[in-house]
Amino acid sequence: MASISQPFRLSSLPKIPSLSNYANQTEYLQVVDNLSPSANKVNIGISGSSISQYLINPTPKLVFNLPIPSTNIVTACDVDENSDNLETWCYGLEARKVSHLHLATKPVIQDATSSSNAEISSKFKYKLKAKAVSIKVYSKAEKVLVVLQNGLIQTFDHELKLLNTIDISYDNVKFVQPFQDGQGNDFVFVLCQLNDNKLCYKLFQVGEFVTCIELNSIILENTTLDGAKLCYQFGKLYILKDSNELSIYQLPHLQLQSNIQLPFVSKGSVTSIKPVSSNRVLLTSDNIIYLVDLLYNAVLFEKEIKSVKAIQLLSSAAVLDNSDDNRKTIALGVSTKNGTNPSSYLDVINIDVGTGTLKDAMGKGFMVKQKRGLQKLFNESNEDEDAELPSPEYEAILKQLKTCKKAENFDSIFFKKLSLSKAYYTDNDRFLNDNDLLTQIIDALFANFKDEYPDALTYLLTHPLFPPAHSKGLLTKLKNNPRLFKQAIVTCPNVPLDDLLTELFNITNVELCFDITLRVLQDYKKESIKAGIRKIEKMDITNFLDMILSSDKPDSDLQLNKLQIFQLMSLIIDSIGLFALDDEYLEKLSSFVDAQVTVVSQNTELLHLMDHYTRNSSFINNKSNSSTHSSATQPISAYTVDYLEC
Amino acid sequence: MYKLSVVSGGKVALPRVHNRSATRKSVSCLTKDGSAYIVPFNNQFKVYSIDTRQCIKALKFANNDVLSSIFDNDSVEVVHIELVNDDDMDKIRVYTNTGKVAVLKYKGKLATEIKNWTLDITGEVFAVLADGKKILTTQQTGNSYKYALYDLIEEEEGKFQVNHIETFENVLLSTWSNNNLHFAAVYMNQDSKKSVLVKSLVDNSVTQNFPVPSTTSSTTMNSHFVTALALDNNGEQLAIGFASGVINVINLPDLSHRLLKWHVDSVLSLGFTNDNAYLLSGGWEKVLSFWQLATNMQHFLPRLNGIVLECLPVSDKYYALVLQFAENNTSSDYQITLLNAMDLTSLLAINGPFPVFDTVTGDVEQPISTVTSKSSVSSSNMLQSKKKQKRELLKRKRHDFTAPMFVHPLSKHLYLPHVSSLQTYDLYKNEQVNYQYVTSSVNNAAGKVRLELTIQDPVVQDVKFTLDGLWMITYEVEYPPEGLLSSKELSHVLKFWQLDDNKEWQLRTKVLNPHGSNVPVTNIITAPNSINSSQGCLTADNNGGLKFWKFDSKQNNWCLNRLLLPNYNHFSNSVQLAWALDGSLIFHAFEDKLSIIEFHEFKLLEDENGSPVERTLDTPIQALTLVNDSTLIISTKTSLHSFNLLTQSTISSFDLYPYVNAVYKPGHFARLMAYDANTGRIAVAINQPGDAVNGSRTLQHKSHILIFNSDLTEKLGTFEHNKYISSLVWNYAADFIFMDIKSRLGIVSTTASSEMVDESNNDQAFESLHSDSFTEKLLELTKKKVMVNTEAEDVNDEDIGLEFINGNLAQNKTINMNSFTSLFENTDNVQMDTLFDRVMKIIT
Repeated sequence: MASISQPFRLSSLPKIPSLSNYANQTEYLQVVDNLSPSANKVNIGISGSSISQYLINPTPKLVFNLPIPSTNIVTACDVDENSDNLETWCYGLEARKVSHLHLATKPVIQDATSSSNAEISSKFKYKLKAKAVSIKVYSKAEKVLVVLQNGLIQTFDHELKLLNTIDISYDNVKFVQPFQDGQGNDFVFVLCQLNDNKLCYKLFQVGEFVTCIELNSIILENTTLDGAKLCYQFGKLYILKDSNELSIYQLPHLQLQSNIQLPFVSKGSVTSIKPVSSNRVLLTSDNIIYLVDLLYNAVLFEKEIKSVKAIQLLSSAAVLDNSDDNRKTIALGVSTKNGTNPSSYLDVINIDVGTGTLKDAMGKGFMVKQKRGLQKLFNESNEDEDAELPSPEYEAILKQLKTCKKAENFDSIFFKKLSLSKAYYTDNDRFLNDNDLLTQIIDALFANFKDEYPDALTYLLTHPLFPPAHSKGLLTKLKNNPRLFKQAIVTCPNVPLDDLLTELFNITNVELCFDITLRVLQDYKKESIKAGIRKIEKMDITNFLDMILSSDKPDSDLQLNKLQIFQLMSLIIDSIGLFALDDEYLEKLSSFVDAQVTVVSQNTELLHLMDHYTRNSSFINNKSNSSTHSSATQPISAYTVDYLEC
Repeated sequence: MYKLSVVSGGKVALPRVHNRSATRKSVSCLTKDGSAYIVPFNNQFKVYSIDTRQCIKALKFANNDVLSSIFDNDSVEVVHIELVNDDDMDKIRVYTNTGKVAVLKYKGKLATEIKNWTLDITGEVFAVLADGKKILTTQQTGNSYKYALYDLIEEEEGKFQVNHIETFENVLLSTWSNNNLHFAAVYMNQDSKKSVLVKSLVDNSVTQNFPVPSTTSSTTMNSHFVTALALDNNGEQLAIGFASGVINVINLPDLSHRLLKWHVDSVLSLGFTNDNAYLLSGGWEKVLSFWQLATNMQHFLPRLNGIVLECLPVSDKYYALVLQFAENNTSSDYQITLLNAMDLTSLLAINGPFPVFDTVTGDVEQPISTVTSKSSVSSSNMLQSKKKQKRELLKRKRHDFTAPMFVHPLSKHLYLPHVSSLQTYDLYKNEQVNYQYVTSSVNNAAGKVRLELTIQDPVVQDVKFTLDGLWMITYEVEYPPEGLLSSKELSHVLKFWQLDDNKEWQLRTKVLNPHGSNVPVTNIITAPNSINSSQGCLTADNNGGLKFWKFDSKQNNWCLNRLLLPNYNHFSNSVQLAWALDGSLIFHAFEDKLSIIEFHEFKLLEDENGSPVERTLDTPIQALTLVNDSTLIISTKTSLHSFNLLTQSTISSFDLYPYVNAVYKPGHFARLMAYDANTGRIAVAINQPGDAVNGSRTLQHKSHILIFNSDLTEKLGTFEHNKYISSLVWNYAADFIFMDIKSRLGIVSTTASSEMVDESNNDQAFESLHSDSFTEKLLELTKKKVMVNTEAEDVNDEDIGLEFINGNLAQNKTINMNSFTSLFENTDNVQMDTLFDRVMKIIT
C-alpha cells in the first residue's frame, strides 16, 4: 500500500532569514532536478551560502561544498556527470541585479570516504543579460542550455562560450522544464506570463547540438501563474493555484484535462507540489504531506509532521514503469521550525507510491458528491404500479426520534412518519435505502433504549440494508431479548461471522443452533467459515457437539441430524483437526455417525423393498391392462424404424 | 443530445404465414427487366439487385409519413406487390391486408407524397389475383376459413369499384397457379368430407369439384392430412402434399393420379414450374426436390439453410424459396432465397437478424410435422397448441423476451447466437454478414425429420470478444438425449476462436466443462487492455468459483491461469462480473453479495482487519458495470444505483422495482443495460406491458430507453419505442444499438460529436491509462516540424528575398510561409486581441 515515511534530516540550513521564509525559501534553494528513486546524491544550491553535494546513505553527509558570497542568490543550478568520471557543475548567481553564469568541473565522488580528494579542476564565468531561470547541462554534447528570464534561450559550450541564442519573444519567463521522451530525445518547454492574465507556452525540441527548434506555441487566456506552484511529469503539467485549486494540462498541446478542488487543503496554507509517479503527486500543506492520486482523486496517504511548522518540497524522483516491485522513491523537502529564531532543515522523505490502481484508491476519494434518495424512473408516468414513492422529511423525523424516550412514541413516529405499513420490511419500503439514515436511526434507538426496545428495532432487523457497523456486536446486545435475538439471526444482514460462531458455540437452544447454522452456511463461504473458526481464540466446540449428539434422543424438541448441521460440523472438524477432540468425543461422534449410517442403510433397504414391490405390482397391473398403455411411457429403443404410410 | 431512430434489421414479411389455409405465404416482386427483386420486410421494402447481389434500396416505413400511417400496426401486411405498367416502369402498387393500396417508386428518391387509397371492402384481403382484377378476402371461422372473391374494376385513375362474386366456406387449404389465373382449394363439404375445388379466374367457372383422393389404406391422420397444394398454369395438374410425406399428383381432366414418395416427414411446400414440366417440393429435410413429371425422374438440391416452406418459380429464370430456421422455436426466422433456375446457384439470401428470445414470442408459426416437438407441431394438436401458447403468454403479466446480442469491438458487427450457430449482422449495411455453425449439431449438415426433431441441439449461450477484436469466446451447453438416466447431465463447453485472414472464426481451443462436470458458466467477462493486452477472460460458475483464462503466446493456446474455488454453500445463477480498467480489481456479484477480488493475487480483497471487503444488497444483483473506473452501476431487483468506490457512498438511485422485479431471469436485465466506455454514459431499456384493451391484457408492449451520465445524477434522454426491447448494446463508438421483439434494429445516437464534449469533463474515461499517447503526440509534432524544416531549406533562396522585403529586422527574424504555422495549431477559444498579439509577435 502507498505510504509516506517519517522524513529524516539531511542537513540544517544556515540561519539566513530568507531561507526560513516560507514565501520564497524554495526559490532560494535550487535543487538539481535529477533525482532518481534510487539516488544517493543530492546537489543543492543554497543562496548566500554554497553549492553543496550530499550523500544520503549510509548516513547523510556533506561531501562537497563550493562556497558563494553571502550576497549572491542561486537562481538555477545543474550538475551532470560525463563518461570521464567528471562532474560539470553549472549555476547562475544573481547579486545586485547582475547575473553571472558559472561553470566548474570536478571529479565524481563515489562514496563518503573518497570525498577528500575532490577538487575543482576548471572554472568559468560568463555575464548574463538577465537572471538565469533554468540551466541544463548536456554532458554528452558538452553543452549547457540556459534560459534567461528575459526570454532568451542560450547555448554555451563547457567553457561558457556563447554558441547560439534564440529569442522566444516574450519576457518574464516563469517556468522552464527540460524533459526527455521515452526514446531519449530532449525537449524543453517554457511558460511566460504575459500582460492581462495571459500565459504563453512554447515547446522546443533540443537538437543534437543543443539548439532549440520550436514545436508548439500556445497562448492561454485568463491564466496567471502569480502565486501558483507548478510541476511537470510524464506529459502533464500540474498548476496549483490559491493553495487548493489544481489544474492539470496535457502536453504537448497544453489542453486542460481537468480542474480539481482539493478540499483537504485550506486556503492560505503553505503549499508545494511535486510529482512522484504517473498521476500521483506529493502535496504539502503546512506541515502535512499528502500523497494524492489525481486520476482517481483520492488521498492515498497523509502524514503530519508534528515537530515543524511547515514543510515544502524541493524536488522529487518519479517512479517510471510503476509496478508492484517498483514503487519506492524519495523526495527532498525543506522544513521550518517556528519560533523567535526560525530554523530550516533539508529533509529526505521516503515514499511508497503504491501501484496507481483502483485498488489503492478505493475508499480514499475526496470528491464527495451530493447524495439523492430513491427516484422514480419516469417523472410523468400514470402507471398504477409505478406509484409515487413516499419522501418523508428525514431530518425532522430523525430529530424527533432522537428525543424520544418512550418506546410507543418512538414506534409511532417511526412507522407513521416514515409511512411504513407493516411491522417488517416489504418491497414497498424500498425508498428507505439510505445507509447513513438507517445508521442514524439505529444510533438514536440504541442511545435512548437499553433493555426494552421499541418495535421499530424488529422492523429494522428485517431491513436488508441494516448497516454493517451496527450488526457488529448486535447479538451480544440482544442476548437478553430472545425474540429480537432470533430475529437478528434469521433476518439481519451483515452479522459478522465471528459473532455468529461465538454464539453458535455457546448456545444451548437447539432451535437457535439450527438457525445460526443455516445463517452461517447461507452467508459465508466455506473457506471463510474455516478461517473464522480458526480465528476464534478460546473455542470450545464441546457444547455444540454435545447438543448435536444429544439431539438424537427421542425427547429432544428438534432433531439436529440435518444436512446443514453435518455440513457445518465437517467444516468445524476440518478447521480444528479431528484429533484435537478428546477420545471421549471421538467415540461419541463415531457412535453417533454409526447410528446415522445404520438409519440410512435401513431406510435404503426399506426403499428398495418398497420399490421392488411397487414395481412388481405395477408390472402386473401393466400386464392386466396393457391395451390402455400409452406409447409415451414405452422405453426408448436404440433405434426406431418408421415406414412411409401409403 | 441523443436521438432514437429505428434504422435497420426487421424480418422478411410473410403476410399469409399465420393463415393455416394458405400455401403461398410470401409476397415478392421481380421487376420487368429482371434486374431487381423487391421483398417486403416488417419495417421496410428492400430492393435487391440480382446482378450485384446487394440491396440497392430500402424504403423504410418510418422515414415516410404515408407509409408509417399505412403500416401503423403490426397486423398490417403487404399481401400483393405488382408493377405499374406505365412509361417510367419505376413504380410498384402495394396492397395491404387492410384494403389499402399505395403506389411507390422503387427507383430514385421516394416522393414524400405517395398516392394511396383504400378499397371499399370488408374482411381481410388475402390475395390479389388474375392480374389485379380479382381480390380474395379471408375470414377465420372455427378451424377453417371463409373466402370471398371480388371483382376489382378500375373505373378511373385511382378509383376502384369492388363487386362481390362468390364465397367459399370451410376452406382448409388454398392455392393458385403461378400466372394467377387458376385457383384451387381443399374444403370441407357438407358431409364433413374433404373436397377439392378448382376454379378458373378468367371466366369464373368452376372447372372441377371432387373429393380428395385417398392415397392409402392407412388410417392414420397424417396420411389424410393435406399440408401442401399446388396448381399448374393451365389448371390441368394439381399436386397435393400430405403430412405423411406423400405427394399425390392429379391430372385434372381425367382425375387420374399418381403418388410421389420421397419425403420422410410432412411435405411443406409444392410448386409447378412455369412450363408445367417439373414439380418442386420441399420439407423438413432441407432439400429441394425436383420431380420431372414426364419421366418421374427426381433431382435434388440438398443442404439448404432451413426447412423449405415455399418453393415457387418467380419467372422462367429464377426460383424463390422461403426457408425457415426452425431450430429457433422462440421466433419465426425466415429467409427468402432466390435460385438461378439454370444452375441452381443461390443468387440472393434475404433475411433480417435472427434473435433467440428467452421465451417463445407470440407470433411464432411452427411448421407441421408428424411429431410434436419444440420446433414443430403435429397435425393432431396443431389447433390447440397455438391457442394454448397464447393463453399461457397472456396469463403471465410479465414477460422476459430478452435476447443475447453482442458487438464486435472492431468491425462493429452484431453477433446473435442462433441456437447452435452464430449470426453476424451488419447494422449499417443492413445485411447478414455471416452465418456460422459453431457447435456440432444434427442441423449443420441436414434437416431433422420425425423423431430427430426431439433431439435438442447444443445452444450457444454467451459470446464475448477480446477488446483487440482478435478472439471470440463462446460458451455453449450440450444436451444429452432425453429419456436416459444421464439426461440431466449437461455438458458445458467453452470455446476460443481466432479470426483468420478470411474473416472467419477458427476454433483454437475447446474446453469441456470448464468449471467441472455439470457446472454451468454463469458469466464471462473479457480482460481490460492492461491485462495480457486484453487477451484474457474470466468465467464464473454458479457457486462462487472464478477462473481466469488467457492466451499464452508460448503455448500458442488458451490456458487456465488463475482460479478461485467455488466456495459458497448454495448455488445461484445471479452472477455478475466487472473488471477495473487497470486490471487490479474484479467485482464479483453473487446473489445479493458483492465481493471484490484482487486480480494479481486472485483472492478476496481484505481490509486492515483481515475481513473481506463485501457489500450486501437488498435483492440479487441483476447487472453490474464499472464506469470510469470509479463508479459501480449496480442494478438489483429494486433499484438502479451508482456507488462511488472512491468515497464508498451511493450517489444516486432509481426505482426499478415496478419494471424489473419478477420479470427477468437472473442476469437477463444486463442485456438491457449498456455502457459507453468512452463517455461513461449508461443506457437502460425498460419494458412495460402495453395498455389493456377493454380491460383485457394484450401481448403488446411499450418500452423506454433512458440515457444517464456516468454516476446517474443526470438523465440525458428518455426515448419511447412501441415494441418490447430485447437487447441493448454499445457499439464501441458513440451510439447504443437496440433490437426489439420484431427483430428490428434501432440506434440511439449522439447528435453532438465526441469532440464537442467539454474538454475538461471529469466523466471522461481514463484516456491517460494509455500512457503512450503523450509520446505519440510528441513524435507526431516533432515529425511535422522536421518536415516543415526540410521544406524550409528548399525555399532558402526565397528567404533572402523575403528578408529584403521585411527589412533587416533587429532580431534576425525572417518571415516566411512557415512563420505562421504555429499560430494556427491551436486557435480554439482564442480571443481576437490575442490572435492579433500573436501575429504582432511574429512579425516584429
